[in-house]
Amino acid sequence: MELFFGLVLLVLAAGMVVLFAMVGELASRVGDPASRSRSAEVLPLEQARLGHVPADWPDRLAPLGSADRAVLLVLSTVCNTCRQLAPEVAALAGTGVDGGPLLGVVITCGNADSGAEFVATYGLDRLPYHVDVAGEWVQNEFDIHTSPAAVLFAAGRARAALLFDDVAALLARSVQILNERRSEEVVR
Amino acid sequence: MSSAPHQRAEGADDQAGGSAGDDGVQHRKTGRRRIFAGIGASGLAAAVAVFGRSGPAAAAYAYACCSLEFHPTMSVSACKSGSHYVWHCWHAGYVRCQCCEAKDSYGHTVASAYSCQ
Repeated sequence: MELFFGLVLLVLAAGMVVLFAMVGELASRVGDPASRSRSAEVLPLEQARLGHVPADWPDRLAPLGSADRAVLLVLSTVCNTCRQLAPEVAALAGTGVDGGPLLGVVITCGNADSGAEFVATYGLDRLPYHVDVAGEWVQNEFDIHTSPAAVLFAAGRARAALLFDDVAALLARSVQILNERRSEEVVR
Repeated sequence: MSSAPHQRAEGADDQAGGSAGDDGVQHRKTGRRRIFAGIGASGLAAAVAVFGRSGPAAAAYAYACCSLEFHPTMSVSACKSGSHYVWHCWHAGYVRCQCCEAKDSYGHTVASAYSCQ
């Protein structure tokens, strides 16, 4: 009888362990609902201040101001989609094709510590980056207070601003827009 | 009369057999305990291996497209009435949300809020 009860308890305990392991594995496979609903759309950000040349570039972002073409990604520590995209953004470091736009990242945050932690966590220091406390620089220069967003520059001037939730789709659209702008300038 | 020695021998044998039997039962019990102890230890090790792994510490709570440091306990308007950091996010192509972090005098986040439209 003792042996029987012992075996029953053992089977129940093993079943509980397996059940929790299955639930955990299932949750990790299903993932976050927000990530499943990513649309890969790239939408224009209507409110942004286009045609603007920033009065001051943060030190680490200065190369974008002098680049022929540049894309500045705007991420935020309070943006869940930004956290999902950040590893993909970091992976872009060193992968640029000659003639492609220069990439940079600005991270808006409530305080410098959370911004620095975001950069360190996702390896964004491999790109030109700036920690923008309270998003002041991005709001003052471009009137942007939404993420994830991107500002496209041609010769240091903001030409377009986009909302995105897929990095590959953003880059494809960015190259298309900047090439169109270049063609327009050539025609003129 | 001749049976008495046999009886004594048998009694002696019974005692010897009884003590041998008790030892056998004791050995079996000890063996079972060791088996169950081994199975339990193995199960514990397996549970530690399965659940003992931990990913990076996630000090953020996901609400819609917001990643908040605290569970939201206030309205966005209350959050914005004091020192705060507020930013917008969007997801699913059309949902726009405000994510607000209330800050203390030292700039540390003390509460969070969000609202979506």
